[in-house]
Amino acid sequence: MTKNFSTKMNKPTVNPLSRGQRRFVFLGLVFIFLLTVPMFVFYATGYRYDFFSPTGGLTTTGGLYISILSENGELFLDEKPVQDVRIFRKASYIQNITPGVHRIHVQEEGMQTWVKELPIYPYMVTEAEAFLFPKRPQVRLITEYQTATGSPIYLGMSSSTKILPFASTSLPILITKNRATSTLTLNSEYSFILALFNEQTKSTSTLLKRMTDEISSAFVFSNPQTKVSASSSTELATTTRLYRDIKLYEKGGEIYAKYVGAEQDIPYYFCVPQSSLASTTELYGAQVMKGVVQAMEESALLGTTETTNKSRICRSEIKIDTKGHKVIYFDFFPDNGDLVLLQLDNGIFVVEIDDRSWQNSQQLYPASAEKIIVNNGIIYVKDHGIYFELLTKLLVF
Amino acid sequence: MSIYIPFWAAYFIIAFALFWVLKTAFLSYHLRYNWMRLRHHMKLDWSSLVERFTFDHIYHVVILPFYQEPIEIIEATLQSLAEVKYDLKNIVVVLATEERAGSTAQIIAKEMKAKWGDRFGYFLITTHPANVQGEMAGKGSNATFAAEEVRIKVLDLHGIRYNHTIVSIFDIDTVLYPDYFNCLIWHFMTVKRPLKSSFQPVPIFNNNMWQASALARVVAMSSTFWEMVQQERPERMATFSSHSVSFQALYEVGYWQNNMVSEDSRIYWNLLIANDGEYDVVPLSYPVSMDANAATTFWHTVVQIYKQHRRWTYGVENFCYISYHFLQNKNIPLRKRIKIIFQQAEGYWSLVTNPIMLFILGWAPIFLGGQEFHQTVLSYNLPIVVRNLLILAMFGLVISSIISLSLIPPRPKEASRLRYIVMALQWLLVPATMIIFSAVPGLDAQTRLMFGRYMGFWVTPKNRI
Repeated sequence: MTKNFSTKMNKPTVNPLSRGQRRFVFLGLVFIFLLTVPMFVFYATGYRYDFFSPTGGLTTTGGLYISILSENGELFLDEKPVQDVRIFRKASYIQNITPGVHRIHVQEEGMQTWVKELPIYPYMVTEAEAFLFPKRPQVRLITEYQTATGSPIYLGMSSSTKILPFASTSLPILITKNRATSTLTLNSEYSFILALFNEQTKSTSTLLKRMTDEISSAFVFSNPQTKVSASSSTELATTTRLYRDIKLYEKGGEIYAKYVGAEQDIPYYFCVPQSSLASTTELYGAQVMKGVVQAMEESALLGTTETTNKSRICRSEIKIDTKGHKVIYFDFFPDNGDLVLLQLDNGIFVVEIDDRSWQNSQQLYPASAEKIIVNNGIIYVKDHGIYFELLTKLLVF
Repeated sequence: MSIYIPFWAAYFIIAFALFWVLKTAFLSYHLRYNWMRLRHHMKLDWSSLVERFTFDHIYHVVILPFYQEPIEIIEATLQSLAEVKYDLKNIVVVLATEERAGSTAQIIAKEMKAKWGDRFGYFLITTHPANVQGEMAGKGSNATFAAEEVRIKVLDLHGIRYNHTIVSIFDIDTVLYPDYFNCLIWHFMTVKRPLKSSFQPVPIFNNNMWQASALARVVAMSSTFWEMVQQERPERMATFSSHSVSFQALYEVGYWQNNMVSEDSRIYWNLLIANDGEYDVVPLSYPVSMDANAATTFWHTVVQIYKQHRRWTYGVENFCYISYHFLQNKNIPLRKRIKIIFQQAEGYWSLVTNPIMLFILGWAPIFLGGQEFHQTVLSYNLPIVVRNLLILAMFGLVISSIISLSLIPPRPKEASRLRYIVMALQWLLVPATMIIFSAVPGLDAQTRLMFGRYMGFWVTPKNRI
């Protein structure tokens, strides 16, 4: 728009907007509104126009919402990396996924990989939660004495002694033949941990002797024979655990997760869409189909429709896969109602309750320890007399 | 809707967000155009434009209602008035004081008269008595008292005809630009029906722009922008704050209403109804500068802005009033009555609901829609689509930012150049200010009116900090 700004005139040259101009702009915007509202609605619903499709035209898509319990986990869909889809710090939303079964995996250097095959439905979002724990156990040793800088120290041992050789520790470990404690500080946490494990504080000499025995037999961590014998005398310490309406309980040596909350709040992995009920085995696996059939039978017997929630059928119980190993201890993974912490006779594991396609299981510690205690969201382990915190993130040195 | 029909609620929210984007574009178009026109009008030599008219017989009565404002504010207003490019002998200044303001106000008024009185044709101090039965203490009752005083003591006394007199009522912090009266006269002489028109300048709340906080600046400039938008669609305008009108028209309706809060807009509705719809607001697209609402502390600024906007949005009291009179006055064309009622209803509704719908209730289906909705692509895409549309709408703020920078006074020496950057970025506060200083005070005012808890006139404190 060019206007003459000359001041030699009888009236301003920039006239007010005329009604005609305003009406033109208004109608233009109304036209844009009417044209674009359906486009935005269709887009938001999951419709996409495929310009490169040989058949052309409109296609329907679905989405995947995945929470990743690791800030640096890289997400792959059908083996291709998916980037810049995080909508929250730990959650990613991928849209424009063609319906069908897709392979999703999340990986990170130094961490175990999480893999799942999940069906994607048109207009629907499939949810999942991925978890990654270190390949090499990460521990924080808790000793009776510490150096002035807070490093754990083992006294009366050869400096070549390996403490937990298969693990990384959060602080450098000091091992010394010296038994003098005058320059060291007592670790109050140690006393707390001892009390936690229902043990009485032993005298330093006794402890040192015990530790010497433990360190000298440190290799036993990788000896399966010893592991079995060590755990065989341990009884299942836990009967039920409840966290956010999910109850973990043991039945016939197996662990089950049962949802006990309100029907509308049931976690997504307990349910399958009613529309694909017949294909449940192919889409989710026989174990899910079995649970669904059982739920439907129970519902029919009771004459209720509790298992059906309009568009989906929900089980109330999922069996936790222990891979045939004996369960010594179980609990929820700290602050997470979807993951189960298992102490099996071959190690400490975290297993997801979500059994669609399979249950991912990741090892936290490669030997079955003497005892695990979860306190204030921290996993404490006692193994061969050594106390440590089991860390779930990769230590950065 | 989000609970029972979440899918339809989601469709509605998407459509509404899109509507908002296009509405922003529409308003920005008007704003940008008026900015261009405003700058053009400010560059014009209005003195030469009015040379072809004979207007020696036209007198200007400038009513300046004041309460307890500090002397420097009144001083600045009178100084700007004395510096206009106009024959000051044709200007009658009325310093309209309030008896309830106490003796200090009287002393200030006398001091001002002593200093500026001989510069103008006439300088009158009026004192509106306190506690008059049936009146609401406030600007309307004070201005009406002053207008009647000036009629008796000046116009009638000197035989000045009412239809040759233009009354300009200015808030006490109004600083005039030099060509205001020439611009006013040009419009007065050229409009179709000058005696049945009110003349509305653009109130730019920028006097204290370099002293006010970012919050105060954004809110003040938003109000300016709204008036600029309205200047390009005068059929939707009502008079607001400082404005000018023929004395004849005012006299016929008994001046400003003295028993209500929003006297500035009510006078227009009274004039419109009294003249059977044959009454206009003429946009001058010429500025007057006023103070941004700023207090000495941030919290006091927040409170003051809130109260001022609650008073402004209490203008909804006019809706019932004009609806009633439109039913009574069949001489106003039906089409005009329906159009105005619709515009007013839409205006007051959108003022209080749109920001809340956009920034808060837009998320309702996600939280209230239930599992069946929650597992759909629509549920996940809804916040993304709405967010992107609102970001698109925020581009309108870029225009606002540019325009606002062009309207601020010259930078004082003590102010850092970095303040320009702050002034550009301050517009990011708009989503919050829309809710806190438009929607919430609007709801507050409307709810008070609905439950009969009628508001009094709250005088905005004026501070030059």
